Amino acid sequence: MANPLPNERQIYEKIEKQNIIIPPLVWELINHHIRNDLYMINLIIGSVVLDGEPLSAENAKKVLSHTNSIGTFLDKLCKLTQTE
Amino acid sequence: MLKKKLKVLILDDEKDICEFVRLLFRKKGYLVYKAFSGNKAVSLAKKVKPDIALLDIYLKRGVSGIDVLSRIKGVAPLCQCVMVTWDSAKEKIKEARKSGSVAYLTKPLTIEQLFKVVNRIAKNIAKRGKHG
Repeated sequence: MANPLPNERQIYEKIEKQNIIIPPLVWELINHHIRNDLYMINLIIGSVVLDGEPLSAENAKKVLSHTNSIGTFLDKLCKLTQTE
Repeated sequence: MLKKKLKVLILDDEKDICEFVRLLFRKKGYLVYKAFSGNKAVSLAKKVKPDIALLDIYLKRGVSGIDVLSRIKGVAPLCQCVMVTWDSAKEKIKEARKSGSVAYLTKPLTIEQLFKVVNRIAKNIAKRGKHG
C-alpha cells in the first residue's frame, strides 16, 4: 500500500469543499479498465492464497500484464487530461 | 447416490477473466461453460440449461449483459443469474434486479466473495431440489 501524501487529508477536503468532480465519461473509462484489471489480479492471487500452491510462471505473467495495463491506461489518461 | 454437478455459465468478453473463472469453478466441481459474447451465452443457455450464470454487463459492440439476462431467463427460466460488473450505479443494480438477477457483484471483488455468493445460490438450488 502506498504511503499517504503529506497533504492527502487537505486534498480530500479541497475536493469535497470545492465539489471537484471527474466527468462521468472519464469515470467510465477508469472503472472499466482499472476494475477489470484489478479483478483479474485478485482472482489469480486469491486462488494462490486459497489453494496454498505456488504462483505459476504463466499466472505471474498474467499479473504483470494486468498491472502493466493499468499503468499504460493511467499514462494515456494523464496525457489526455492534464492541462499543465 | 451420485451428486449432480451444478452447471455454471460464465459470460465475460474479457477472455482472460472468463477462462480463469471457468478454471476456478471447474476445480470446485462445477460443470462450467464459457461465452465471450451475449449471443453465444444465450445459445449455450438454451442448450445446456445452466443452474447458475455469471454475467458481465458491458460487452463488446454495445451489447448489455442485462438484455442477455432477460434472454437467458427466456430459454432457461430456472437459471440463477448473477451480474458481475464494474458499474456500481444504483439504477443499474435496480435494472438488473428487475430483470431477474439474484445477485449483483462489483468488480474488483475477491475470490472469497465470488465463491460465497455462488455457494449460497448452490445451496438454495439444492434445497429447492429436495423440496421441489
